[in-house]
Parts: sequence; structure tokens; C-alpha cells
Amino acid sequence: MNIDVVKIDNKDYYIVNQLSIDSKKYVFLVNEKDNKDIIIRKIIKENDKEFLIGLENEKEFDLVMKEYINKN
Amino acid sequence: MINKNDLEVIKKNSIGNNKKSEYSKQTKNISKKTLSILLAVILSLSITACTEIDTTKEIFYPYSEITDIDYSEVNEYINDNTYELLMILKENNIDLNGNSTVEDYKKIKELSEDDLIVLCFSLGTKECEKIVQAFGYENWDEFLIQNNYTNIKGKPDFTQWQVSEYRKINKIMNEEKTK
Repeated sequence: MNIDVVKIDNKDYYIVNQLSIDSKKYVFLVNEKDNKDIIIRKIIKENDKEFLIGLENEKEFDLVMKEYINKN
Repeated sequence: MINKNDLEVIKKNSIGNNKKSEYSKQTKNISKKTLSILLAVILSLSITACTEIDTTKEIFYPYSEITDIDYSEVNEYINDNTYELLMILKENNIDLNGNSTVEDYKKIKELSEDDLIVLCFSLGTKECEKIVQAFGYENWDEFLIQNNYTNIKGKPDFTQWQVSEYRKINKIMNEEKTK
């Protein structure tokens, strides 16, 4: 079985979920070596390149989690 | 299982990090065991979030009030069955990234409605709706109404179906133990 992986701070994270809210995209990531190390990142586009950044605040986190629950 | 404290750590680690990382994906092959672990993470994160995220409390069924379900057994069942079901999808040329159609799912003979709860966790409810449609329903709402998963107002209730499926899983697991 294949899965997409992305590198953050030299650590490999499995992409376990991707969702969109109002044209914003988010990914749920699980550290390859520590399944308790879970982070959510927002995908942004700059100069045709995509980057991952942290969420802005608790409100955005709750919004993303609500959508995650809906989806799962 | 992911608990309330873990969820707080996830929140802390997800907010306020403005350091950009390039979104450059690689593909890795994972074992059945790793897949099981990741699915357990998805399941337990979903269950914990249902009880802990304030904004969901008005919308979602109060999982914390359901005390008869053994979620570790639900976890175990989903883990045990996911790999086999995903293999069936792959053998039938289903694109696991969501690009397959209802017609593609209709060609699969090995799936039944009992598999939906497991597939929901691995594919998500949106993709799973294609399977629901392949079974002949118009959408999730029609599936829920036809199977009597409705609230007191007669509206389709997805969570009622989930809870019912979890109870069925617990029953199956208990029956297997007593064999």
C-alpha cells in the first residue's frame, strides 16, 4: 500500500487526510516515527509553489476539526 | 487511543507556526501494520474530537454519553478489515485518491453495505457516498432514511448509523470471542 509523505523539519510525516474549507486546503499529518505526533497544516500557494504553514488560531483549528469529523 | 491531552498537544503544535515548509510529496510503501496504526489514529482522533471540540457539541451526537461501546474493539475490527477491503478496491482498479466514479464502484461484486463503516474510515464519507450510490441509493441521506436512521424530526441521522454500526461490531467481536 502506498501513502504520500511530506518532510517537515527533517521529519517525514504521512499525509493521512486532506480537506478543503472555503477554497483553503488542509492536511493532517502523522509523524512516521511517532504516531502521537500529529499536526495539521494549511496549504498555501506562492509563486506557483505550494507550502505548508501552521493554522492561524484556535477558531481555525476548531473549524478544521469540525470538518474532519464530518468527513470521517 | 488519542485522549483529551493528546488533542491539546495536536492543537498546540498545529497553531501559530508560521515557518513555511515546501509541500513536496513523496510516495512510500507502508506495511499492513503501519496502515492499521494510521487508521487507528484517524478513528481515535475523530472520536476524541467529537467529545472535546466545543463547536461540534451542538451538532454531533454526544459520544461521551454512549457508554456501552467498546471503541478499542471497534478499532481492532476496522484495522483487521481495512487492508482486505482496500485490496479489493485496488484489484478492481479503483483510484484511492478519489478519481473513480460510481460506475467504477458498481463493477465491484465483493462489497456489501456491511463494509461501509470500515470504508468510511479509510476513504472518508464523501468518497464513500459513491459506494452508497453504487448500491442504488441516491445519496447518504436516502441510505439513512431507507434504513431508518432518522432523528425525531424524521431527518437522516448519520451518527445514529455510526453508533449502530459500532454496536454491531461489538456484537460480532463478542461472538468471535465466545466461539
